Amino acid sequence: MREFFKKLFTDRDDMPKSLRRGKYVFCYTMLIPTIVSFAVFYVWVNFNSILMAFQVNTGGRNYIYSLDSFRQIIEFLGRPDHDLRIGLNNTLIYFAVGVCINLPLTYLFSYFLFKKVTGYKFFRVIFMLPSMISGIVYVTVYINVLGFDGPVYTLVKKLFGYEIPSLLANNATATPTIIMYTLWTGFGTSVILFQSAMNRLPREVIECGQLDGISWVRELFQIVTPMIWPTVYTMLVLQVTGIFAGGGPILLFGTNGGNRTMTLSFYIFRAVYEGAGTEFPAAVGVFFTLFSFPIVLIVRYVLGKVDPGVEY
Amino acid sequence: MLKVRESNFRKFYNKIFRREKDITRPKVMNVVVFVIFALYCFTLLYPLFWAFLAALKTNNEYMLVNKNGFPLAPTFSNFVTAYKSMSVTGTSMFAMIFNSIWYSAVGAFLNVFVCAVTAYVLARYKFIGHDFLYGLAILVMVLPIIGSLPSQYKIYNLLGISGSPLMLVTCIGGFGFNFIVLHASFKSIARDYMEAAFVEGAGHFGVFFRVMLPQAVGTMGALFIVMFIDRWNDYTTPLLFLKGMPTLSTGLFIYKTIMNRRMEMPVYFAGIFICCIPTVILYAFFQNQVMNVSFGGGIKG
Repeated sequence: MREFFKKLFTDRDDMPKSLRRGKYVFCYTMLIPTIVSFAVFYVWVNFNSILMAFQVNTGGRNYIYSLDSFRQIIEFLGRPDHDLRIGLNNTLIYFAVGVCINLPLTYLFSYFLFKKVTGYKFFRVIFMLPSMISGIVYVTVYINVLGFDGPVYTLVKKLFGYEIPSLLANNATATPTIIMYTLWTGFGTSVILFQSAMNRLPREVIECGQLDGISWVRELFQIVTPMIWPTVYTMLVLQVTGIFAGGGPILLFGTNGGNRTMTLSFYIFRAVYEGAGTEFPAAVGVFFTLFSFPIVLIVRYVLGKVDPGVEY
Repeated sequence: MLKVRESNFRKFYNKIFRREKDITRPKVMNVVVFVIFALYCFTLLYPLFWAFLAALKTNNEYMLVNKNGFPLAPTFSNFVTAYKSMSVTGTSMFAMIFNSIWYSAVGAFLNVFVCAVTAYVLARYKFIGHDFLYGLAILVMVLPIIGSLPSQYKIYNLLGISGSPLMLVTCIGGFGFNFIVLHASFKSIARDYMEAAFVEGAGHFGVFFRVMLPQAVGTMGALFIVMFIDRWNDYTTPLLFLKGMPTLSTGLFIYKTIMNRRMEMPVYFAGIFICCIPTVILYAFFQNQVMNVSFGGGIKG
């Protein structure tokens, strides 16, 4: 332990002596805004979050500290129809869709853009549109295109004689509709990151594989993936880090969490937005943060073991 | 005759789907992927095109006569009406555009600049606490903090920054995604530049502002654009923390909520297209820079 801290706080410098003194002034001065901002907007905010999780308002500005909020959370999670339980289920579904469908698809899309599929310049611009244009625009358009008398509704009615029901007003279809939306619009930024990592690969390596006649599947998994592993690792870890924070733009879909569209993040947002007390939502945040810690650590550990050890 | 036809078809096929010099493209997959990508692009573009056509119709035409076809008598008056009539809590659309500009531009600039400073210091200097701070930056990115919003709400109110432009101080950050990208960027710049400047007598500040920062301007610009667009489109933060100063995205959301069924959809569609214009222009001009943002070594290690 002592060695660890010694290592952290030791000056290991190869800079000439004449520049060292000024170096400290420079480094610490430049870091002041970051450190102050981190202390106030990260440490204080999160420490206060933990305090709030144990607070129970007894009227006015009086609080007592107890585990009541956590007891309530466990109780609510036991009720299948409670918003919190629905929120947890939906959040996990969004996470599963993100990791199992969205991320692999994004990776494939990026690979084919990297392979310069015909029209790749045009495609990569269009794929980014949902990230560039406000969610308000795409959600409004999505609702109206699928909605009553919209183009999709009219086309399906003409072709199959089937009238698409109001998807957001139905418990069974509301969340799948929003999940479809997140899938439809979810390729943007990750495509950039994967693709720019792939673009930095040495072209000779790819050409060697091509000359040996390897298939694109082998090229993708045995050449490209090991070589851009740090980016793949980062994307996977970030995805897992947001395990309980994911969800679609519930607010914009106008369901207000009804019709079983609730997610954990929207549950917390709604409570704050509607001024329905901040202590219980804070406890919800802390509760799920505690659960996600070991998950993230395990995933990091497991992925950390997968080291292709490729350097170029 | 058949031979000629075949050869013309082959020429056409080769022109569209193959390039002689490019051996990296699989042939059949190229066609299959092209079709899938084209279909996906169609699904992304068609709804926007449909909404644009709707914005060119009168409300009567849209609601009663012709919801999905081309406008019978196209008119741009909805754009003017949207600009003039869309006001939220006494804030006109002009004021909302102004709010969007300062909220997005100043916030993005502050964040990217402070991240660049932090990234440079941690990428290029070894000093007491260096490893601790770098570890902290990585830790912050992978720590799964959920739902700190209630606490943010309380603290921002306590500090008196909620509902005022002072909210921008929350953008300073210094760590996070932009830090990782800029750290990789500064790491990739040869140390020789720095050493040559020191030999010429430049100080630490001089080296940073006159030698190193200009070399990272490309990456910083790309991050600025991504962040500007992200903040322009952000509706939740201004909704909670800038209640008296709605940005364009927030204003459109509030307008829709207030008007509900009384709203004229063609006017609303015109409004949302006005909202898109700056981000689409920015992206159109700087898409190459944006496409080159990379994690470098990522958060591994």
